Amino acid sequence: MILKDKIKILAESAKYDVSCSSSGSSRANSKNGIGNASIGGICHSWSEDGRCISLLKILFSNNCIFDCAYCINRRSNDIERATFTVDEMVNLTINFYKRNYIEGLFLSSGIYSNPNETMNSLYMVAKILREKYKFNGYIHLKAIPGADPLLIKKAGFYADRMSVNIELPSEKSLKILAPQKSKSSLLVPMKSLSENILDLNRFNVKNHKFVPAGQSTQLIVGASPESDYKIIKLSENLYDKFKLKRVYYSAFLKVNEDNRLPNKNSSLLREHRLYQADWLLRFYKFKAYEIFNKGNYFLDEKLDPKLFWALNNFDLFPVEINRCDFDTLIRVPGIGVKSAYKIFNMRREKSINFDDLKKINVVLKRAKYFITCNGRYMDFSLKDPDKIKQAIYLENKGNLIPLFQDNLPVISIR
Amino acid sequence: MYIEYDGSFEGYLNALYYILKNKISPNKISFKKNLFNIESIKINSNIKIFNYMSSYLKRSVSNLSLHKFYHCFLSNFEDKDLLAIKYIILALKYPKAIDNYETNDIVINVNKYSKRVSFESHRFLGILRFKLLKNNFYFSKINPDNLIIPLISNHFVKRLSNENWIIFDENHMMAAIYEEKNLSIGLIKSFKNIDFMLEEEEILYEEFWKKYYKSISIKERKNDRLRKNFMPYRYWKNLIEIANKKSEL
Ligand code: SF4
Repeated sequence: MILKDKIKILAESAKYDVSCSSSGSSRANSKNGIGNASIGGICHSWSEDGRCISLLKILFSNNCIFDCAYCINRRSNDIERATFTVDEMVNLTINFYKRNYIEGLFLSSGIYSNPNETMNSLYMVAKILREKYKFNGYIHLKAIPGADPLLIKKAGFYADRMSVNIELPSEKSLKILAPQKSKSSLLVPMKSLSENILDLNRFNVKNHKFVPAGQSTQLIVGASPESDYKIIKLSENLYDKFKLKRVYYSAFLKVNEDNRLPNKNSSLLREHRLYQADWLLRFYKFKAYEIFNKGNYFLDEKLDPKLFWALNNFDLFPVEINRCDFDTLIRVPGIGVKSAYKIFNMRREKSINFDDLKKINVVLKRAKYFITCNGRYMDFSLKDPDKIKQAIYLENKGNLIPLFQDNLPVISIR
Repeated sequence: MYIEYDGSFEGYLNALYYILKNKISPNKISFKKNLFNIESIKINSNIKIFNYMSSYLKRSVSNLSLHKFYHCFLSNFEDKDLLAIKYIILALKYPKAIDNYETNDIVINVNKYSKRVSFESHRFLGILRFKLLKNNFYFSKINPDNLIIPLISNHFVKRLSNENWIIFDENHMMAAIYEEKNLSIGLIKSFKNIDFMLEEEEILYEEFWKKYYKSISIKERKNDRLRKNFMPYRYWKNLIEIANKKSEL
């Protein structure tokens, strides 16, 4: 098979993968090397659907000995198969990089022979790029489930980021949909990566960092029955225990006929709400149990999660803008971290009124139900959470919810 | 009075020197010739004066002001020469306070112009494409709105430190040439017959790149408006992956 056809097959199999960021790592150019992974993140092109192309995102092979129900590359599917050689992969990366097509490589693979051999190929690609070609661009490698932890660790010395994809939010679902994978085959490499990241970076040896941009993972939403609460709770654990940099969510897209799978594609809106809830965990100091208290297990697709939470906990409101503490302030719908800082600074100078809030971009349309300035509401506001909810539904009707650039559904998952 | 200089930053700082030394009010000058320019001054690019002025400015105004002044100079707005002069005179007068003058018209416009330049130069870090030539140079032709070559060159010095390369700005006839680890930037007459010089392998990798580009797009989600927002039409002709698609639209 000629290289051009391989590129087609293996890029197509990789295109639905969600994470596209190349930021978060800055690798200075080593002497006589090529490249420097830059911090800001550089887009080199935009695909027809408007997504930023920053990395050469591709599979090493779409052959697979596993048979995960949701995956286009599963063994039982009759599709065109291809596998790169290590040299092909290295040359392609170097030549794309030098022509300024890409910032680096995002390499994943189906398990084409056995987990160790597959992992070894990914490792060799990274090693040759770094050692022989002194490549300093960005490298993201998938850790192959079931591969020897030592091999994964070795790869970590050459990669900027690594990811182990959990895919399904519970062991039970894994058993049904991805019978050859087990919770431990996923969590063990994840755990050892996170320990190594902590351990090995302590000494701060120059140009010898271990996975400097950390590890991430991906979950498929809606292929299995788990609730939003269960999913967000899992993410919370991953952030706390394994110090993950990002969890990506991916709405289930049905590509295989299989009676273990739901009949419908999962909604992008649900995926979007999960990203927002995840955001609350990472930047707004929420705990999973708080977002879902009062017996809720699913987010309301029509409300953003902060509003969802605030309306479910209406007894905590209103908060007085001129007196409340910072953590309370950032929980008010319509107030972001930035505007909260501004409010705090401004408060030292003067007492704040609604006009001031408008100037610093507080979304009063949302916030007005939940705040007072010097004891007063903005206008005659609704004071019943159910009525507020109805009012907001009405407002949102017809407004398309903007979707994230990078949250596309997964067809093939590695 | 009409002030004429050679278009270089060196010449521009010489002009600034002349204006400051002779205490000429910026309201009396123009960088465009018109009917009312009775007096006309021709400025030389004296390198000594240039050096003197740059160290004077570095000492006298904040880095941020200097940054804005320079970026404004590099922009392609018609009135940018005069505006940057007005701005720097203001900055010299109020070096500390200037950045808080967010409501002053001069400051507002300088902010706008310099942002435009920064944005475009960042964009070109991504959408610039190199082609490998037979003489082992990586060659890139770009068509930016602003004079961004001085701003992007260092990025590529770091990125391709072991290669020889040329970035050629066709709109402004300016080039950055990096050869044997030396970078030089200057105005240039032309580059001819580049296609003739292409390394054979080059075509192959361009084909690979086009194939890759095509294969990763999600057809069901085609969104041309979004794509054009990010990658405006006027830049397309040098983008290998979509250059020939222009006619399809
Ligand atoms: S998800 Fe991965 S392991 Fe499972 S079938 Fe697809 S490529 Fe193979």
